[in-house]
Amino acid sequence: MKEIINNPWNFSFFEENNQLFLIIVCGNVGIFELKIKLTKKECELYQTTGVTYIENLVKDIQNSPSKYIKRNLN
Amino acid sequence: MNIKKTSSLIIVLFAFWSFTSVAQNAKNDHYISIFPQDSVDYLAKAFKKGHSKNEIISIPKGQRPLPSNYLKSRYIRRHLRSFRAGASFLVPKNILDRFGRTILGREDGQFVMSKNEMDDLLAKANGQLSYIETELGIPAGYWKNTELIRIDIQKPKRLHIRIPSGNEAGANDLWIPGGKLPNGFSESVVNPIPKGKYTETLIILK
Repeated sequence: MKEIINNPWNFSFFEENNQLFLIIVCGNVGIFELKIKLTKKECELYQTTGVTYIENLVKDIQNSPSKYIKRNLN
Repeated sequence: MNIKKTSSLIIVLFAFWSFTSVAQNAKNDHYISIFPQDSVDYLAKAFKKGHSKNEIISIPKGQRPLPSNYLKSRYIRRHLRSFRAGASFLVPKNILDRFGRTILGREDGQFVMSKNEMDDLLAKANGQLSYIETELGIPAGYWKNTELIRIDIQKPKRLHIRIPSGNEAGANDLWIPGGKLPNGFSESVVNPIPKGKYTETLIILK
């Protein structure tokens, strides 16, 4: 596993077996995590836009975790 | 003699009136803390003239104003007073293990509820995980087979306890202004919590 960004209590972005993953801390009084694998399109956007894309994706997930719950790998 | 009797009667009536008033106020306070609908009504009176819940929600996350701009100071004081006994939140043990225990919570503010409300919530849950998940907006079954830790902060005032602005990372699309969860529980945010300023308790759930 190669860690790309580790932002404690917020998110971790890492590469594993040539695939990109995000672990995002969600919730407020009750905390939970989502682990998602980036899709091909998301990987392309990351390659072109960089870290900003990941930060915005994290914000979107934290704002609407229910939208991403089906992609959770945990 | 009659004057004495009348005076005694007045004193007894006054004492009775005082007692019933105090009892009614206590009942009302308790009622507010238990029933969400009352909390919502209570919240409606929290806004300064010209401001409303919908107005604040409509502002995009990241641009929302400070709560002191739109909430009455009396409401803010009363809200924060309910955290005097302490503040609490729940976190899976594996997250604590991964991030460490030196300092807990998000940089931009860790969400907490009052210790008393957390006590009530856990008592009502009676060990049922699903009840807690529902009340705290956790996806159903998400905490199943998870060791859950309750964090208690004894003196949240020292960690700059405040009403959330809704710009925090932890504020999701269900956030409402005024420091209330959708089900009526009170919420606030505190600065990251250093070791020594909190206690950790394992929660046993079914």
